[in-house]
Amino acid sequence: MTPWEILLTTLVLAAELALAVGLAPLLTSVVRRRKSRSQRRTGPSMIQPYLDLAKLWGKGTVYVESSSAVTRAAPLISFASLLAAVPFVPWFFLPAPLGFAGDLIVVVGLLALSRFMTAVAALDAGSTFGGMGSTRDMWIGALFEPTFLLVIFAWGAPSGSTQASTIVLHGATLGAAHLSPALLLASAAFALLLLAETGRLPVDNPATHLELTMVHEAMVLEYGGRDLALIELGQSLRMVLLLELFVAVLLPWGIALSFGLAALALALVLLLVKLLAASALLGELETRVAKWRLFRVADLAVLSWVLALGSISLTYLVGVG
Amino acid sequence: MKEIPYEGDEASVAAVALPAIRPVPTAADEGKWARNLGLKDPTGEAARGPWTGEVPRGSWRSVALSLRPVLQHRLATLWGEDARDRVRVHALWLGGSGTRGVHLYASLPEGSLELPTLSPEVAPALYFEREVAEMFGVEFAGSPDTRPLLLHHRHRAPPMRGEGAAPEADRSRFDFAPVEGEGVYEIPVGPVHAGVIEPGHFRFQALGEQILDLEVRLGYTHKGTERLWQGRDPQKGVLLAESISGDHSVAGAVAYASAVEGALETPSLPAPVEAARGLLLETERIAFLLGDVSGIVLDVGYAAGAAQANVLRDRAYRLLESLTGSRLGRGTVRVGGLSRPLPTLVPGKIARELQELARGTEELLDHVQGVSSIMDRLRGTGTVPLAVADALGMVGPAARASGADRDVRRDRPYGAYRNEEVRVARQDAGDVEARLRVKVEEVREASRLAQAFLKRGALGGAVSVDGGVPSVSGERFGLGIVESPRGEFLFAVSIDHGSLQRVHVREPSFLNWPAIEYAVRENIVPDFPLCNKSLNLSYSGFDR
Repeated sequence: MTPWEILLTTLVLAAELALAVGLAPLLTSVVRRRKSRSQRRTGPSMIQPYLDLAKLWGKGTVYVESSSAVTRAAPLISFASLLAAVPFVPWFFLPAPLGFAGDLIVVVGLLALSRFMTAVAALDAGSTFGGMGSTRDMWIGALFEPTFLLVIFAWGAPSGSTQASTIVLHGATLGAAHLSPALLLASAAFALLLLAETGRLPVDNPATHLELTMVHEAMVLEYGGRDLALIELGQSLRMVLLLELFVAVLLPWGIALSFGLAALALALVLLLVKLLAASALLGELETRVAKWRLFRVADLAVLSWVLALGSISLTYLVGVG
Repeated sequence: MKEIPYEGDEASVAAVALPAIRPVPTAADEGKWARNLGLKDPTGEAARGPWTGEVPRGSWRSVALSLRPVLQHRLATLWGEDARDRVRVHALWLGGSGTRGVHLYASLPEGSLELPTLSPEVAPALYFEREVAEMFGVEFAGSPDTRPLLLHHRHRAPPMRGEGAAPEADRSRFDFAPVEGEGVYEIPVGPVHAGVIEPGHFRFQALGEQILDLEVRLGYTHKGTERLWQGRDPQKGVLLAESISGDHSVAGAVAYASAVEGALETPSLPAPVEAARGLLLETERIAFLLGDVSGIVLDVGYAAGAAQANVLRDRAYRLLESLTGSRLGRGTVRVGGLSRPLPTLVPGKIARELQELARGTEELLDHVQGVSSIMDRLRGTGTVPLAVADALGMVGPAARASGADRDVRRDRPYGAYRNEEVRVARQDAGDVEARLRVKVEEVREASRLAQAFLKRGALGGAVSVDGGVPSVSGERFGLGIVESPRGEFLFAVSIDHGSLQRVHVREPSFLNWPAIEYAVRENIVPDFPLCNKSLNLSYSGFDR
């Protein structure tokens, strides 16, 4: 790489981090707005998540007396690992800035690290709800992580790579032929695991006030102030990250392949449109389904796994990838 | 559990000649049994009331135990009364359709406030006895559970008797039944909850997500309402009756008013007044039950359906507001009639609104039935078998969803229901789905009844009994039993020289609360809110 390219890549990296973090609360807002409408409510203002974060950021933090350094460090590590996953995913420019350093399996690992830190911190305070939330969350994580890997292999099968940039580039150059049955199956599998990974209905209900049914919320009950702000922002970031991965692979067209102004502008606009549409779709889905009985979540994982396996079989055995 | 022998048990059982047992005992069987025991024959206007009589302390248990197999009555309530140098303990047993019920009481002289317990055989007696024990200092010999019920550590003297009446009780300890074993852990929840609801403490014993046992501790909203009534003008007591549990204020007011009217031997109310009360009761029922439907649907995370139910519920509340000026229907029912006539709105308009509420509720049920993820959560969740419902003496929609055929409106008709047949909704499964179906069906029936009462001239017209409420001297007793949206709402009122001497209120939740401890067994922890919401138990009504 020339110094010029390194500078540009650094700029892209900074822009993508800012974009991901900046967009995250907005997309959460879009989902909430869609749900409010289904309940015939106006719903809070679109910038409410930003205001909430600002409010929490301005508050002090209180820790449970029995808690250790884990409780203090966990929100930061959890958020940092999500942030670190951002440059491994293509946003508006190919190749992804940190694509040279790792593939999508690194993303899976970083998401797992974030989940692990939250769960450990939930146990640290010693409250019953924390323990309950973390066992549920780790169980869900254990169900869906193998599927996540399988989906990555299914996506990567046509291009022979687990690199996000390679997968997306391969798809973008294929044109309409990109939307093969194998890709659609794998993407459907990913959509299901996205619900579980981001703690949306029917797996978890982020809007619930019922402490006994909570998964993610039960884990973070002991947090307040800046820590809670980081956790909330992290949860939104996790959602935007997975949504972006979904739309980037499924609809790769329009992403900028060079540093032309027009190409970059088009890529940015398309990115926004795709993400907003995806979040609206997610909100729509949430209004149409009830929360599943906890143990039935395993069915969802099985379904997702079978879809991903079907996709791989199509590519390798049938050859219709 | 150790069986404690009681003096005179067998002797007194033998002393009561038992009539032949039939599948469903009739009013005649009841009368025969009661006369054998020497109970007072209710005559004249008081014929509406139960067979009444004092039972010697020694045969308290044996009479109760013989009553159940012979008459199949259930213990509807049990309460204490401070009679200066003694404490009286009353028990009211109610039976099926057409029977009058049996009201027994025992007198306990100061210094030996002791009575044998009924709770090992009669499950609902346990909560009643625990309350009488802490409120009056009565000891129920042989009781398997002597922990406080409503009082917490700050209370010392028995509040219904006052300082020095009994030794100070130490209430600083409250032990939950322990469950042991590998992997068993305890989940303490409340009394402060994550949502804006009333306070109550739930102690789960769980193995993973499986609930092994649940114990509920209540009393956090105990306000001493029963004592607040004492010495008051009966007319002013309506305000307290309305606030026993705010979500069925009208039922509370009507139950209280009819208890007082019975005590004062008030002549029958004019038909339009009875119709007006019926209209308010049924409108309140629609609003209340729609709240339950909304709660159940919301607890499975289906917010859009819950919002739909809330829209309907608010329309019912607005209807109640247009009839009474209060969304909760307060301030209209008074002893002897109504405080003012219902406004002369167009009956056709109200009838149409009532029809739309019923239709909207059924459409909602149809929609909910079409969402498999909802039905999957409701079916088989929180099952209360009929045997348990009967043993606990459960009442209301919760009991009917388990197959219990019980509705005060039909079994002991009062007011406008005397001339109106009530179709009682029933389901057999006893799970959350059955409770949802019963509630929807009851909305439909409530809408039909309310429309019938409209036709009977509920709007406008007379407001009170001719000549007003009679003022009678001496000690009088009256009973008021109303089918509230939660079930049998019961008031027992004693009036002495025109002022309230003792008011006992038994909100339906008092009988239904223990059911939740059964309903959640073998269920998983995250399904608890669903069991809870479908039973819709009142904290305030229990604690008073």
